Amino acid sequence: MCLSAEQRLDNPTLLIIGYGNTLRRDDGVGVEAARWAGEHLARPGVRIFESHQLVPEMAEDIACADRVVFIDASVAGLGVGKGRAPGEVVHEVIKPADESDPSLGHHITPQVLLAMASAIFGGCPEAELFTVVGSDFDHGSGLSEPVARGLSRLQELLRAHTLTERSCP
Amino acid sequence: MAQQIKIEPVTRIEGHAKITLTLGDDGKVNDAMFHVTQFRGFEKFVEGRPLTEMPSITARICGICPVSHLMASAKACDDLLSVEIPPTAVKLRRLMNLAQFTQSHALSFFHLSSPDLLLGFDADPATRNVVGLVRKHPQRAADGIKLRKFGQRAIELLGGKRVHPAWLVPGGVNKALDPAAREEILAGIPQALDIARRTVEFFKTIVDQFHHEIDCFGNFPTMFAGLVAPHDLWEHYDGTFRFIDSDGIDVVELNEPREYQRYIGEAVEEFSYLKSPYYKPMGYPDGIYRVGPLARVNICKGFGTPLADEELAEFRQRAGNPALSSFHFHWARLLETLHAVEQIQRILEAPDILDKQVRARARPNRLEGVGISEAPRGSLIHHYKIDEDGRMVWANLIIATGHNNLSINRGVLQVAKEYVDGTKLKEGMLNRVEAVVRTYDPCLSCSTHALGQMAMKIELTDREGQVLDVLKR
Repeated sequence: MCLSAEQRLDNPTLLIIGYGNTLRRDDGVGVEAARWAGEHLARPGVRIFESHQLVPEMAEDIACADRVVFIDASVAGLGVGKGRAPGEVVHEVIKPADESDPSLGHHITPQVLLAMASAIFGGCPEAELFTVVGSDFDHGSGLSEPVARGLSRLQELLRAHTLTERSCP
Repeated sequence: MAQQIKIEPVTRIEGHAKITLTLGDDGKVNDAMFHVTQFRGFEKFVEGRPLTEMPSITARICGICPVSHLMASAKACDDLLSVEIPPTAVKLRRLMNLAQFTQSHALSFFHLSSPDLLLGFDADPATRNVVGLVRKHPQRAADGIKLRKFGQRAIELLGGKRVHPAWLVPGGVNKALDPAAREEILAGIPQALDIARRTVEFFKTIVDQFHHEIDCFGNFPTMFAGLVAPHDLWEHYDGTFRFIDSDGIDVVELNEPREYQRYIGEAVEEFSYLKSPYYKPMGYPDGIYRVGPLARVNICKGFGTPLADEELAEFRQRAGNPALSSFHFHWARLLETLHAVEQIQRILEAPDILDKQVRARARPNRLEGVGISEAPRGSLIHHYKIDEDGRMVWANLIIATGHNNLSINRGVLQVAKEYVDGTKLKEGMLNRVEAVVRTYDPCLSCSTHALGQMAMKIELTDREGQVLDVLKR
């Protein structure tokens, strides 16, 4: 259940969602980051999810947060990873989707989840997406060397972010 | 060279597929093909693995419905061990499978198909999607999320996590139900039941708007197949495997899962990685049959729970008995959801549900085993052969969407012939071609989220390959 507006002003909540498939090597960097966050950033007001993928029912938890940090992997040369080197950490402030990707199946984006959180549950958290550019998405566990280095940089960024006090508009 | 229209990718389904429509000289559709363009290879790379790993390995076939593969795999392993698993373990497995039905059907209906049903097949594709749905029908979308959450939470409470729980094992389950988990699931029943009931009621108010789609969305006689319980009741976990004909007459009933090869053949077509199972006695491709919610509802006499049975009576009256249009997969899915919630409550109230004896242990006692269970999308068959050391030497998996492959292809052709005018493409025409595929809620399987985005582009070309018309999304 969400906190009331007054309670939230006193106790701003941060939700960190790291997602990916740890059996497809670099794709699991989001989950690895969430696990690290669970060990090092856990404190009252911070909730941490690790997940295979984003799912619709996360919308309610997102709506209840003041800030949400999504952590994902991307493929070098594609999408966010276009023109970037493996291991690079990309940071974006993201907004609710205006219209959904028409190829939507069981795959859901952070922007769509934000739109669902807003339209269905009335929550409008500030949201950011950290993406680590990966190079090895083959079967297997463990991160490639560049992505393992990227994870270290991401951890520093997350530590700095979670120490930053912000308030929900 | 005949003219072709290609729809790629097919949207709002699980996995990657495309559709090719071939036009005749008159611009009318002559032929249609549903291509599954992804290849997985699980049957090959499980060779050499210990049988005890099979449930966990095969669960990785899908990140969306891993419970289904866990279930069929565990049953195939039970067969290899030749064990009778404890009654409480059977109940717990059933509980998890019903929770899986609830969450999966909720996703299919509310998020994948509702954009068509609530916003309209001809609505602007920029808004005919889940974001458009939540903005225009937030209460329906919220219902979908809450129902799915109920199912997912039940799976998590039983198995320790929502995706790929390692709880189902050969011989039973690896942990008894915690009393607090039982109470939490029970506490969610009233809301889940309310949502399931009002969604069925709502669907009944809109279904008649789609009479044209009902007439041509895979509306043809076929056989239907699936598990059925004693007293001809709806079944999802055990029982016998029944084929009925298009008049509802029983054709054959398999008492032993291992008999499936006598009745089910598997054809391979060059245009798809998805095999085309068929009813062997009728040959290929005449031995077409359907599985899944519509089939399960058609082959049983009732659900055995009061609310679902009341709705089933109305379904039969309005949709037919057996119901032949694949459009009615939607309605059947909602009936099953209602029943699943009722049945979850019933199982949780069983006096032995907290019993600690939930696993039978044995070494392999057979070299060949078959498990059949019902996934939300239909019958799922796992067939394993092992060596003396219990290592896999061969596997054959027949998934629900495979059983429906012939029917999906025929349904696509039927809709295309009805709606597609090759001289001028309209987006709504092609959306209906995709929508008939969605009625089956096919799962073409994913294990990682999408790598990049695929654009939707449809081209109409003439005999010389000259582009006559293009639609892009």
